[in-house]
Amino acid sequence: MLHASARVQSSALETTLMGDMKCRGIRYFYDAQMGKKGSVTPDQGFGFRLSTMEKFSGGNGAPERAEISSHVQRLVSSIQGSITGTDICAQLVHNMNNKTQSQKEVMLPFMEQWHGELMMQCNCATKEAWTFIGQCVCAMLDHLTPPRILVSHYQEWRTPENKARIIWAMMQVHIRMDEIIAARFKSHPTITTVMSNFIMKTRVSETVVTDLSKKIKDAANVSLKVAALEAEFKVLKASMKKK
Amino acid sequence: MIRICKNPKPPLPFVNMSQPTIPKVETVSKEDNLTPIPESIPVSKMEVLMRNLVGSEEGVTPPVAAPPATSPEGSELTMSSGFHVVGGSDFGEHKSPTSGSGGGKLTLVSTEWMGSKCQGKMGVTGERICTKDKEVCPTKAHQTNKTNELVQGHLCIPGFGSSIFISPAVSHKALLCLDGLDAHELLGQNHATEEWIRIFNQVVLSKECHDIVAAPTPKSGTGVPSVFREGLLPLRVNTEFLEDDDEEEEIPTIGSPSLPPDVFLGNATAIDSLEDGTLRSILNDHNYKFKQVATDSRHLLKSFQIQSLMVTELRSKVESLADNFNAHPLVEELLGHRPEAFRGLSVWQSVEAAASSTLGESSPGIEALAAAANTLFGKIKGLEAKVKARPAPVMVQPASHTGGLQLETDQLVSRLTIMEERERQASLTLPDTLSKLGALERGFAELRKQVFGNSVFCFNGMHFGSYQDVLTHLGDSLPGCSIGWFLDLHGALSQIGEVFYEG
Repeated sequence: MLHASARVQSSALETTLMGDMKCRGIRYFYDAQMGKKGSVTPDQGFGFRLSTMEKFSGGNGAPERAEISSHVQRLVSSIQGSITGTDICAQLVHNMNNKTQSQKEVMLPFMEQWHGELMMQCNCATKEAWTFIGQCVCAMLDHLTPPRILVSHYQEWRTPENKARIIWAMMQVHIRMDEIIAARFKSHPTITTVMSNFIMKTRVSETVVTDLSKKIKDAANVSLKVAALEAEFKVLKASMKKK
Repeated sequence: MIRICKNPKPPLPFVNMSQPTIPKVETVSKEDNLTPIPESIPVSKMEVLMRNLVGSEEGVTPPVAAPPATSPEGSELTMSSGFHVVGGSDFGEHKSPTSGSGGGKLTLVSTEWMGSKCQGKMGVTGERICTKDKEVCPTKAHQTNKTNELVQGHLCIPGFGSSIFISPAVSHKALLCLDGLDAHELLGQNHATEEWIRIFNQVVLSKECHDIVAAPTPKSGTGVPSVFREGLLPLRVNTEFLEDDDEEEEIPTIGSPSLPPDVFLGNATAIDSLEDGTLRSILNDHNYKFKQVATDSRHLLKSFQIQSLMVTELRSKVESLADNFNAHPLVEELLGHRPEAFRGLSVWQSVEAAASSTLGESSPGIEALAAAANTLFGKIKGLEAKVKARPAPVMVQPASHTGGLQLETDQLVSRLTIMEERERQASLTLPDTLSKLGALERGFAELRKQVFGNSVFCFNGMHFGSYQDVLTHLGDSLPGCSIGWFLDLHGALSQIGEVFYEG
C-alpha cells in the first residue's frame, strides 16, 4: 500500500483512508475466523476477536477493549505527527481527531455497561446480551457508513472540491456519531430498531407455552404411573418371595 | 180661544194703567180651541230677539232667559211680539205661566242686590230664583244650584213668595228713556205677576219703546251681541211679509173664529182671507214688524261683516306700519343721513343731482386718460417695430483662459464637497451598517441551522452544513492539507489491525 501510494503520489494515510471508505463493516470486530476474510452474519453479533464479553473486558488475558483504544490512539498520534502547519485545516484535523478519540472513549465503556445492565436487570445470559450488543454496534457503525460510501469512488482527492467533499463526508460521520451519543445509544432509532428485531426473534411464542404446559401435565401423570408400577413391583416381589 | 190685543200706535198710556186704550194681554181658557204654534218657528229665539232689542240700548248683552216653551199644565204659549200669559179661564184673570205666580213690586237687579240675595233656582225648570238673603235662606239646594241668568239693571217680575221671575225682564234704563212713563212710579206699584207681564208687553210693543230700543246701527255699538247673532241666524223670516207692507192694518175683532195656522206663519194670503178686519190689520202689523226686524237683522249682519273686513284691513295696515317702523332704523343706517345739500329734495332728485355733478367733474379726467393710453400704445408699437428690424444678437461665450481654470476649480471644489458629504454620511451610517451586517450574519447562521437541522458541524465558531461550507471556511488552507489527516470513528476502527506495509 505504501508503494502504491508513492506510485500514485499520495500519502499512505490518504490511501488507507480512501481504501476503507467502501468498507461496510469493521473487520476487527466482525471477522469470523483468524487469518481468513469474511465476517459473521449480523445476527451472530461480534466476530471471533470479541466473541465473548470476557475477551472484550479482559477476563481471559489481554482485553480487546484496551487493544482497540491503543490502536486508535496510535492512529491518531501518527496523524498528528504528519500534520504540518497551523492553519485552519490543521486546527480542524486536530479537532476531528480529538472527537474521534472521545467518541471511542464513550462507546467502548457503554458496551460493557450495557452488557451488565442486560444481565442484571433483564436477566439475560451473558452470551445473549453480548450478541445483542454486537448487533447494536454493527447497526450503529452501518449508520455511519453512508456518507463515506458517497465519496468512496473518488480517484482524485487532491482537488480542493474533492477534498471538501471528502472532509464533509467525515464531518457527517462525526455528526451522526454525536447524535447517537446524545441519544445515549439506546434511544437512537438505529438501536431501537435492532432492539425490536431482537425481541421479536427471541420471544417465547404461545405454541411453545402450550406445548410446555402439555409436557408438564404429562409429567404429572408420570408420578401416578410410577406409583402404580411400584405397587405392581411390590406385588411381584411378594409373589416371588412366596415362590 | 185666543184674544190678542194690539194697539198699532200706542199713545203711551202708562201714566194711567187703567185706561182702556192700553193694549191688553188676555188669557184664554184651556178649553178654548187654541191653535198650536208651529214647531218651525222657534219661539224661544223670538223672545231672545225681543229681549236683546230691549237691552240693546245699553250695549249690554242680555243672557238668554227663555221662559218655558210650554206651561206645565197643558197650556201653550202663543206666538206674538209680546209676552203672553196662558192660563186662567176668564178674561182679566192673570195667572203665572208657572206654578210660582204671585205678586208684588218689581225687583231691580243690581250688584248689591245680587251680592246679598240667595239667587237659588226655584221651580220645575228654574224659571224663578230665590230672593231671600244668603244668610237667611235655609234651602241647601240653593247653595249649589244658583242662577247665572240675571242681568244687572233689569227689572224682574215678582213671583210667589220670596222669588222673582228671571224672564220676562225689562231694562230699567230703557224705561227711563221712554216719554210718558214714570219708571220710578212703576217701581213703587204692586201688581200680580200676570199684571206685570201684561204691562211689560205694552212697554215692549209700544212704538216709542221700539224706536228707543231699536236695533243699533253699525256705528252705534261695538258689535252685535253674540246671543243676538246666535238667535238671529237660525231665525227664518218669511219673506212673504214684505209683500204686504202696503196693506192696511186692521184691528182684529175679539171673539173671531179660530185662525188658520198660516196666519201665524205670516202667510199674506191666509191673512187676507180673514174676514175680521181688525184681526187682519193686527196680523199685518205683526208681519210688518217681523219684516222690519228681519231687515234690521240682515243689515246688522252685513254691517258686522263689513266691520270685520274693515277691522282685518286695519289690522294689516297696522302691521305694515309696524314693519315699516321697525325697518326705518335699518334703512337709515344703510343710507345714512341726508346731506344738507339735498335737504328739501326727494330721493330721486337728490340722486339725479349727484349723478349730474359727478359726470361733469369726471369727464375731463377720462378724456385725459384715454389720450395717455393712446400715446402709450403708439410708443409700444414703435418699439416692437424697431425690435423686429434689428438683426438677431450673437451669443458670445466668455472662454478666456482664466475663466476656464476658474470653472474647473469650481467643478473640483463641488466634487470635493460632494465626496466630503458622502464620506460624512458614510461615517455616520457605518456603525449602524456594521451592526446590521453582524445581525444578518447571526441570523443567517441560525437560519442555516434550521435548514440543515442537526446536520451541522460546528468548529471554532464556524458552521459546516455542506461541502461548499468546507470550501468557504477552509479556503486557502485546503490545498495544503491532506485528506489522510482527517479521521472519524468508523475510519479509525476500520484501520485497527491493518499494517501499512501489508499487501
